[in-house]
Amino acid sequence: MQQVMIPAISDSSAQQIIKILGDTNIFYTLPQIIISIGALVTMMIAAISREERGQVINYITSVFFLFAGLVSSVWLASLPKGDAFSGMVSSDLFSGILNIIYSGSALLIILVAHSYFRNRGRYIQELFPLIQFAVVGMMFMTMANNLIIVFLGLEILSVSLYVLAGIDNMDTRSNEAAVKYFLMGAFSSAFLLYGIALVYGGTGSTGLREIAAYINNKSIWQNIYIPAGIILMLIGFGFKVSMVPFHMWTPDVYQGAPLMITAFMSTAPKAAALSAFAKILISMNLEPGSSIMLTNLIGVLAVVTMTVGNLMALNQNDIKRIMAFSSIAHVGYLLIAVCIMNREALAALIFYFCVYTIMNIGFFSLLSLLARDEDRNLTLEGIQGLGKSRPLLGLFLLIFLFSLSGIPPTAGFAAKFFIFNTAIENKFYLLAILGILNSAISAYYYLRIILYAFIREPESGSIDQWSQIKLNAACFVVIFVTAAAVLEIGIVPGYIIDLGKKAIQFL
Amino acid sequence: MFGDLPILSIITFLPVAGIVILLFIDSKKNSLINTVATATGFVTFILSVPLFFAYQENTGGYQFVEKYKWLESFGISFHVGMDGISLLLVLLTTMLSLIAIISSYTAITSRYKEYMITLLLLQVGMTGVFLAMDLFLFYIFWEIILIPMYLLIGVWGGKERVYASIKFFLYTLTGSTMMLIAIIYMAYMVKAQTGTISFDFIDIFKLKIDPSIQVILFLAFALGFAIKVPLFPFHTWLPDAHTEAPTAGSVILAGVLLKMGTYGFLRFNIPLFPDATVQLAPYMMWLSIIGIIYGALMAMIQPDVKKLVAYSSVSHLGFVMLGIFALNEEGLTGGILQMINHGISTGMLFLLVGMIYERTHTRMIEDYGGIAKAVPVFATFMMIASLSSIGLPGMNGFIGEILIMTGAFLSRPVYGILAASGVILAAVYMLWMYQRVMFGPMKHAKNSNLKDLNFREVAILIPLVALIMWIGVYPQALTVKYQKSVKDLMQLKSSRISSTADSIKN
Repeated sequence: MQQVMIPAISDSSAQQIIKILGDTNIFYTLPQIIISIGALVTMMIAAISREERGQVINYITSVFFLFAGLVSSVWLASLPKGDAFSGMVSSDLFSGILNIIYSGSALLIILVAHSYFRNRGRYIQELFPLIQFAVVGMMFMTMANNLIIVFLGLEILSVSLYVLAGIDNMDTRSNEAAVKYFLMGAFSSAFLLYGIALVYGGTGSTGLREIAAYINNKSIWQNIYIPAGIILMLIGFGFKVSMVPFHMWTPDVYQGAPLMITAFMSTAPKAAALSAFAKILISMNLEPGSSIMLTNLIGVLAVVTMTVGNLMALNQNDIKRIMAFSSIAHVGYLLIAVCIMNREALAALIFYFCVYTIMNIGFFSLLSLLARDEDRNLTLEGIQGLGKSRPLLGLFLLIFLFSLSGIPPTAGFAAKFFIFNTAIENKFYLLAILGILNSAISAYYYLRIILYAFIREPESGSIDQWSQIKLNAACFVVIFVTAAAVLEIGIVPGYIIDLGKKAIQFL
Repeated sequence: MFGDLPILSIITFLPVAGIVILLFIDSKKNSLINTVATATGFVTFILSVPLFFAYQENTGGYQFVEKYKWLESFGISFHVGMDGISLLLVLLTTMLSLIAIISSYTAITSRYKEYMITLLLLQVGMTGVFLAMDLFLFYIFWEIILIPMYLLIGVWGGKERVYASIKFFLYTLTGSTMMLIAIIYMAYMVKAQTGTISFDFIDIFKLKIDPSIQVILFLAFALGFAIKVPLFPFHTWLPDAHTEAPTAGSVILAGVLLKMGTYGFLRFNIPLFPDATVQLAPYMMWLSIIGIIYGALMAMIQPDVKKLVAYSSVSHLGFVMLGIFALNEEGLTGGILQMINHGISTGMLFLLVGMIYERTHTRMIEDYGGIAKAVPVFATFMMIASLSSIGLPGMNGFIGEILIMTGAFLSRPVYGILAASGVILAAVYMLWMYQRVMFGPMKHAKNSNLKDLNFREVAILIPLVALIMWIGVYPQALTVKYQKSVKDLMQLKSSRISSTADSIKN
């Protein structure tokens, strides 16, 4: 011990520390560091301050730190590719863009969630550190170059999400959602960990580069542990992104969790899990011929996922449940890109994440304005008469729903176009056709929401409910910005697509 | 004439300016909304009229072409141009949109501002479809139309509007999805053959496509277009949508939207997949003939005037399709002319039905009878529209139908003979309806107090009557504009057939 301690004080060892730190390249994890500090600070504030004032302070603090994290993510994205912590994590444009999505979506969620809870007289300060921890976990998942780091990131994310689902501890449905989510999530973590263990057993390493060097474009069937491990990891990630047949928890949890938490759960974490899985698959350097079985498997799962999601959504009456099944369907479209398993498809995936996050958060923010006491009127009948009495909110509703169903000129169309385009380019014709037919099916249930909001006449006397809605400034800004972005990306998607294409070159 | 002015973009996107202005107007100021919407429609129409004279019919081809970069990495550009066929359809669009706006002053009572915005958005999509020279752009405009049309039927429609609007939306959306796959497929085919991906018409026209793949692509496109036309048996959405849509919606739907389908066949299916076209033309013609006779028979037994006119559209569009797939110059010329004619005369019929509906709130034939005495001006206009729809010589419908039948006859006599029966049936259902509504004793006493057409209503009908007479007497004025385009189309088709045959031989 002494031998270690004494040189640490001397000059030469100070240089050594600097050298180690230089190898560590700690600044590549700057967004995580900033947001972790934010999470810790908000946790302290929550511990020492009274509810109402503490919430406001926490709100401002976390917005500040998330924004700083966003800025540093942008800065990192502009840097060339680099490794940190001896190659355990690496930063490149790909992870940079996804980090921007994570911190940006968390920022938007917090902006809306604050007023959402305040309007209900609920002061839940734990919300702020938990969302920030979740963001840190997601960032590590994407930047990870090692399966262990992926798992660590996933656990930081998942544990935060379990608590977030049940954050409204006075609401029994929220508690129920948390327990369900926790049980299912624990299960899926076990699957993932077992998959990682098998891959480690097969290749002798958990590092993605070492695994790639070991597989080295050879058949994965040389060693049965590798395909078995990949399939178990697929199941583990499948649970997290609610891929059919591992989707059963989704509708209940999405319905039970507080509205803005559902918005958060349905966007960024899915992007994190899918991008981590896609990155693992692609960087494993699988030999194309031998991964056909894997491609077929994921392709079938993609079709099943979107079909089940869309068909189940057709007959729902609760908008949160519709959105739960819709998010399952969207995972199906995303799995098309995962299934293609090349870099071009990864660019389509990134673009879809961007668009899906924006439109989903926008739509949920709109719902948070419309939801009155305990989200009770978030049913189809509950939103009758919206278009007539609040045309502006109705217009936003139209934009988000047409985007979700993929009708031009919205961003949703551009995203789907990119995915199907990539599928056709790589000769996955059947997947493209089934995907686009599914997209047509999905139009039905989004249209049903529009139908009730605009076309069905409300019962007499119920029009007044909309005139009581007060537009909250932060919430309105979020809705406006996301709606504008949906249209803007829909009309000129070029620059984001190009960015995505550039990002995958560095991977 | 227009110099470097991007006239086509202006015509396409001018309604957007109107929409933006409308967004900032208080929704209670109906007269201001009227003014802005009408002015937008009027200026767009006035700007589009000079195109008719500026278009060089001797040169032919695409004129006023504009091309801007858009999504370069996908080979997609904002590329618009106008040939003789789209020239007439764009003019029809701008005219009928203006008429639709004016006709809605009193017909629409709720959410007036939103209504006008929807109409103007619809105009953007329709104009864009006829002008797009990039397949991706075409698809975007094609899909944009779904949104305003869905809202138009759903929000401002009749009793069964919920059902009709969803049916319309899902039918047309499903139809066009396969088209998107085919479009992307062809873009990558361009990449395989030339090295760069492109969605541009001009590049896709140069493709060499294997005949067996042509058939698949033909069908993928045809599904979307046939639903829009609507070709039998894809017509079932049309009577519902027409009946439930507000008057202006029906006018636009019959006048312009259905033409998008036939235009699609002309613009894409025939020149792009010539082998498949020749191979499948008999089937298309048989479906057209079934549509002609089926539509006419269905029209005959309708108790609802609007539904009758809707089914007559199925019949008339069957004629258009028959002419197009006769694949000779007579048939194509007649088919294109009939597209315009149908827009004018059926548009006028829907307007008239809407006008009388505003007064009586019924469209059932049995609720009328003998009203010619009460509303003589209305009866006169109705007579003109009906006769034009039947195809009386001296009116516009005659020229189109005779050309189509000549074309069909040249293709195979039995087609011409069967199609001619459709003309007779048309006279039966139209005149029978006219007789039951207008003549005979006044069946319902309250109808004797009906107010006749007012000045505004007459004013929007007069231009249509003028067009009916003008085209009837002097159809060359229109046909000369697109004669070159038809010749080009025929030539393109035959040259591509031989070139694919050559390439297969090699």
